[in-house]
Amino acid sequence: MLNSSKFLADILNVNTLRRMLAGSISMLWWVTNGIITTFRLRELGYQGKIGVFILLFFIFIAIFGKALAPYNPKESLVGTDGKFKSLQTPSLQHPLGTTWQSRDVLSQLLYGCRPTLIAGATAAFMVAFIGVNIGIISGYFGGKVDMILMRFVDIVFGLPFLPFIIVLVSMLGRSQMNVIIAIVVITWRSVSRVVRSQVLTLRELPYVKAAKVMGAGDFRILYLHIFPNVLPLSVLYLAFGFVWAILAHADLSFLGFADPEVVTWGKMIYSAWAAGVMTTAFWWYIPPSICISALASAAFFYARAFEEVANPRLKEQ
Amino acid sequence: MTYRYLIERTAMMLLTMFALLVIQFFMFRLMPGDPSASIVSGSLTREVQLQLRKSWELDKPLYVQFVNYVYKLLHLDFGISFFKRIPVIEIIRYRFWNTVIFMLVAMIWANFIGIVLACVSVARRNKTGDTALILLGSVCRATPLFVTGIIVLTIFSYWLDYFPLGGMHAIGVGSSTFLGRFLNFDFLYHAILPIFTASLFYFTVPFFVMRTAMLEYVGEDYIALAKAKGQTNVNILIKHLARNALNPVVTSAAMAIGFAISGQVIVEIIFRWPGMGTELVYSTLRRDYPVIQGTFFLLGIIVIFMNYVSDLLYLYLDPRIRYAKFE
Repeated sequence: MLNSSKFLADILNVNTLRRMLAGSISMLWWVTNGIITTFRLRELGYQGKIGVFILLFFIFIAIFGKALAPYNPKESLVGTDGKFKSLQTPSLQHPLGTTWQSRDVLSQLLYGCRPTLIAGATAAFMVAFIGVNIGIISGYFGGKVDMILMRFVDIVFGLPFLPFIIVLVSMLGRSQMNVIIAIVVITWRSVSRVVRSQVLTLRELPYVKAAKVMGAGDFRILYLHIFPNVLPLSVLYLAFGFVWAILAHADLSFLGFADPEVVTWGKMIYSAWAAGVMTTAFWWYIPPSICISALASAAFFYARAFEEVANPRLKEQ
Repeated sequence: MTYRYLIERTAMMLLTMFALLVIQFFMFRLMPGDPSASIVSGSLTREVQLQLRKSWELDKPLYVQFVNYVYKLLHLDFGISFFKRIPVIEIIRYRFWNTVIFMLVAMIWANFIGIVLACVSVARRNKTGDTALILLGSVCRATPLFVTGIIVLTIFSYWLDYFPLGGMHAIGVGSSTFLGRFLNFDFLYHAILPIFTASLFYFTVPFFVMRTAMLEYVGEDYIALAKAKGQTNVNILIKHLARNALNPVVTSAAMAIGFAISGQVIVEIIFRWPGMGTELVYSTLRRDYPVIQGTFFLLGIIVIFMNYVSDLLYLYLDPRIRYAKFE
């Protein structure tokens, strides 16, 4: 039988605690350092740094937005006079006013950050993962593998972007997960084409041949020797994939194909548009518009700054 | 010669179209929310279910269904709309050209603007003009088109009242002939604002690609030679830099077409343009499967065909490929 009190005493031992603390701090340091070097955060120009700060701000909102929101975003609010607070202009009580359905705009805005960010980040990682893998395998092995994979990419390039996502989502059912899947299924195509052409030049370099002569297996060469050289490109397309995914997610929300349970910025703009108050209720649709635009622009700024750092040919001119 | 490439590329286009057929077939048959689930509902009695399955040919084996389906699509027979009760081709035929003409004009205009702005940006490199253009490009690239569309509509139609609020013709105007539909001032008057909005999004891709490409060529020897010859800066920019940088623009245009279709759908919705995008969205919302199938198929054909055209254009623009590879 496990002696639980002894186990606890062991865990709560000062030495153990100190070791765990030191371990987690060094782990955190290691991870942060890895992120900073991979994403080249130190070398970015000022535009890229502004982009990173905006992204961090939105990540903060996504994490703490629900706690900061003063009201329930789906609740129709009733004023002290017993009437619905429909289309109220910004006031101290409602810093961004209320919607036509008497809901608090600020709360909706704060709630809307998380689904957008999660969709963007998940889709971007999946797109980069699939695209890079297909790209390096196709470029490295060449021959028939390359032929088949690239014809497949060509076929996916023949699909119309948003119509495909719309049809797929409406077939699979409107949930957040299905929206992400539909975006990923079509977006990876651009990444794999670019990565492949990069690998085509990389695989002819002497160090790859040296690794081969030393008896390294194909997959060792692929992931230990070639992949690190494609990493900057992957990070770049991670950022681009983020922008594409956010825009596609916003488009879907606006057209009414997103998860009906989730409050998103696109849906806020859609409901303002559907209510026909574009000329009067600016407080309703301008903030979410600015948020989407700022988030995607920030990622785009970062991508451009990263490209300049990672591709020195652009920088020196 | 280039004939071999032409034949190969054409074969590839046909193969892609066939793949589109296959993907669409499976998308509409095997997904959880496929049409059979909504037509043949579980609440009907068994005999009625069987009868319905028979009348929609859902009882036959999959390959027979596929052959029938391909045969029908090749004859542009998309079935009868569930909602409007008229053949789908009647609905689409009118909207197809509205979309194609809109897209062609918008893409050409946007590419032109993008290329010109890229030249301006390179000429004013590292100065305020360049920074402002990059900022404009980035923000336009990252703003969803429905936001841009709503803002443009609010400013130019509601406030200033220069342009109509949407649609393609004023009520009562329009023509039954094909050319008469597009060659009049009423059409132009309705088309300016949506095309302007779409180009705000489309111009960013050629702009950034062109700018990057031109900056890569700035350091080349032949530019220094042109300068030494005493060529003016404008001449160098247009004749030497821009001409070379056009190739990647054409390649990227091929990739951008797939994305451009999504902008097309949004702009059509915002400006109530009677095109395929509007039809696709509304028929998807009311689960009108024959219409979805028809519009999706034709939108795919547009993308594939435009990819094909831009590849051929690339071949024409880059003599290195034309001569070196295929002789």
